[in-house]
Amino acid sequence: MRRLAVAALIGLVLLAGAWQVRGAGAEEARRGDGLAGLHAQAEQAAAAPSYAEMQVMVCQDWRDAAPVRRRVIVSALRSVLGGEITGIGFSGRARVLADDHAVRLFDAHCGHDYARHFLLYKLYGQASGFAGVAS
Amino acid sequence: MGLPMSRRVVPLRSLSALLAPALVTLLVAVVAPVLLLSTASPAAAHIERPAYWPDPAPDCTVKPCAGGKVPRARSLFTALDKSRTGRTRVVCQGHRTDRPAANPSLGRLQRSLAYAREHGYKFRPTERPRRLTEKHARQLWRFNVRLLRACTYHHIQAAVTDSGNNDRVVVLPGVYTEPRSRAFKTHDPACDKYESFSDFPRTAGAATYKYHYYCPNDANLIAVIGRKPGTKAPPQPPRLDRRGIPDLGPCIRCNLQLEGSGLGSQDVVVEAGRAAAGNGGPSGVGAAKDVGIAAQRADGFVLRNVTVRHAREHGIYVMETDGYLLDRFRSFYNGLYGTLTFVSDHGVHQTCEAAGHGDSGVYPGAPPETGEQRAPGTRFRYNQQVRRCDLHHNLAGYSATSGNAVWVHHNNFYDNALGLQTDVVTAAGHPGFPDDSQLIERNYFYSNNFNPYAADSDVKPAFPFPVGTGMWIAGGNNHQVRNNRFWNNWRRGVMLFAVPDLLICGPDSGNQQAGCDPLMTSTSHRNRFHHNVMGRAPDGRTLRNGTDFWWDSFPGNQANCWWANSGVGGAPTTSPLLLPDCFGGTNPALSLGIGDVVNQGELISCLLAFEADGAEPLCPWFTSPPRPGARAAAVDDREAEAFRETFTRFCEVYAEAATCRETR
Repeated sequence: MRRLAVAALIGLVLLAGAWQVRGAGAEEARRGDGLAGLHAQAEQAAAAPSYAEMQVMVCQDWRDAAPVRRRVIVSALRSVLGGEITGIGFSGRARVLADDHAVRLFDAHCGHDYARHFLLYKLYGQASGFAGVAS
Repeated sequence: MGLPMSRRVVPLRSLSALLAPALVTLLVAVVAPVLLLSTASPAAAHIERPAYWPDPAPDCTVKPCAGGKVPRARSLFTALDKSRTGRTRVVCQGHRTDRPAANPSLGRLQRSLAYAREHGYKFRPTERPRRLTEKHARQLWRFNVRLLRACTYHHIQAAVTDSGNNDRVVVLPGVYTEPRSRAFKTHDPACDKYESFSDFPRTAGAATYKYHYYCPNDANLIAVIGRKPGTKAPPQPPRLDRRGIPDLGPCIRCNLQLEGSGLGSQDVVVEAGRAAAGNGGPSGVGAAKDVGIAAQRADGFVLRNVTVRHAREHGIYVMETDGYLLDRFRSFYNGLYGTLTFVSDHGVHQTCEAAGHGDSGVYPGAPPETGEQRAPGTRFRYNQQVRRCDLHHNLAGYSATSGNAVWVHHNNFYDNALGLQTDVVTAAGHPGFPDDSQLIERNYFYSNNFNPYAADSDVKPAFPFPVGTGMWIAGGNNHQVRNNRFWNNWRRGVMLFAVPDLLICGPDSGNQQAGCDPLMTSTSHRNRFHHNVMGRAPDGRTLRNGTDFWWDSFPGNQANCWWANSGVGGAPTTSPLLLPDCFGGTNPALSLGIGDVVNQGELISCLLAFEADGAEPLCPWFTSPPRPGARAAAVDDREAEAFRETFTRFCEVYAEAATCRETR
């Protein structure tokens, strides 16, 4: 009887867990095992953030990101912020930072609690205006 | 028959043993993925399509013409006059009743009128209370009773959606959370098909005009979509010349007026976040949508007498619109901007208040080139105005990246970290580089000592700005700052510096565009500062700024002049000690930057967070400066030596940076 109760409880917990995860829409949960979840996490770390994500990425995201993810973020920022700048009298491409420099920049700024809401793309743009490299 | 209660109690140890496998499973299956989801990526905001300046000529396919000038607001009391052009739709809360005061909208108005009869009323905090006469109160009450009888909507969006050209939407007092708009998904996959490429370098995922046309409440709590999409798709890649919207359709909601019917803007509230927070913070609290009120290609748009608060990004967003008037409005604690008017023309912000924003209270970004970079054969004109506004308790009161030819006058900038900022630090897709020709006159910049970087701040600062500063120009050209008062800004009154290396062009850059001049990449030229009063309040009190004027004197910067400004006891305080006055502004050629190592060291320390050997950055911007005086001067001396050292070390590492290359 007790084993039956334990099994029933575990079953209930698993059922509730599966239901919650479905509710959260987690792809890895639908795959149904932890390894798949880890795999998905690794994929996410390696995937470039969308433009929309970059627009709102702040220092807190930098702090939360693993080193691999940080490199991906820096690379994506370099790609987007190195784009063309337009005006009637001027047009050209924006300078970018060397990736190592960008990592140091974010590490230095984002280590402070007051900077947790700083937008990464703005920090990058300001810094590249002072110490950018041609790309 | 149930078991006795005591039999149901499981000893703690047994319980944990019993639940342990289940808890592990629960953690693996439930908690871990949820944690991953919550920390893996930030909430994504909407990104915008490549933006174009609207044709500044009026569109006379509608009568009266739309655009071509700043629209005039129509009087509230004409809203029910059927002989007038346009139909009025009335929005209210509650239901019609024989006892008007029992209606929630009119009950709110009644309380507002009663308060105003006793204490007066204000459109913004710094003005003297206006007297409300009994006659005016009765007139407003009676008209609102009539409006209530005409009310057929309870949601502002529904009334806007049903409106056409020249129509009006009148909103009776109340807090409008717009539940129907909130019910629409944000980033709805069904709308993905309307996404396109963003601006250069053409990353996918930009919300096109069609996106907003077909999914108006995906990003916006209230969307005023002014035109149909054009029959032709916008060019890909986008045109480099951003004059003229390439996929412009006909007007469907041009000349729309959206207004509150209360006594002041406090009576009608558009609530994009948590209503329980009132007009308080923190920035973007409980935000349900990115934008409170959006007006896209809505030429001739008038918004009047409303409060907008707690949107995730912008309270009021006007985009690609020719002719807009934002009048008697208030904007509180939106995540980034109180107003963002982007690539728009013929616009006015007036009689407003904006507080609690992580970027700025108002932001006229990327206005058209009508200043010194105007098209040949066209006349110089100020394309937008910001006037009679109180901009306070924000990271910055005003901000304008690539802000061209905006006239900023008769405003109060106080209790921000930085009162006003304009800059060239732009990203791709922000047309109008570099900003030029703003006229900043007859404003008060005072007590901008608010520190949003403090741990308990209710404002979430998005950028590194120097606490305690009246205004700065970060790389603009041909701006004029005159006849203003700056007092009690504990770090500085006015800063001017170059952003020397933002742009690359020339044969070795891979950029062959016309107009790309590598000799003009450094931006901080032809700015004029004159007839400003520094360190004295209007009532005559002496309330010094830390330093009145600060310049990086970037090598090669030309024609920046300071003259006829007055400070406490005579001349204003400056850094460096001498600033060029250009013979009273008559000979700008006498001004040439030669490099100020200390001031450039400060910029390097604060904007690059650079310190050699991984040491803690020295940047003092994020702490409240001491009150100006002897102690502050001693601090300045200590910092100066440190910044000199920072500059030296930086240039050992980055010898090719323009800052180092040009400074001898």
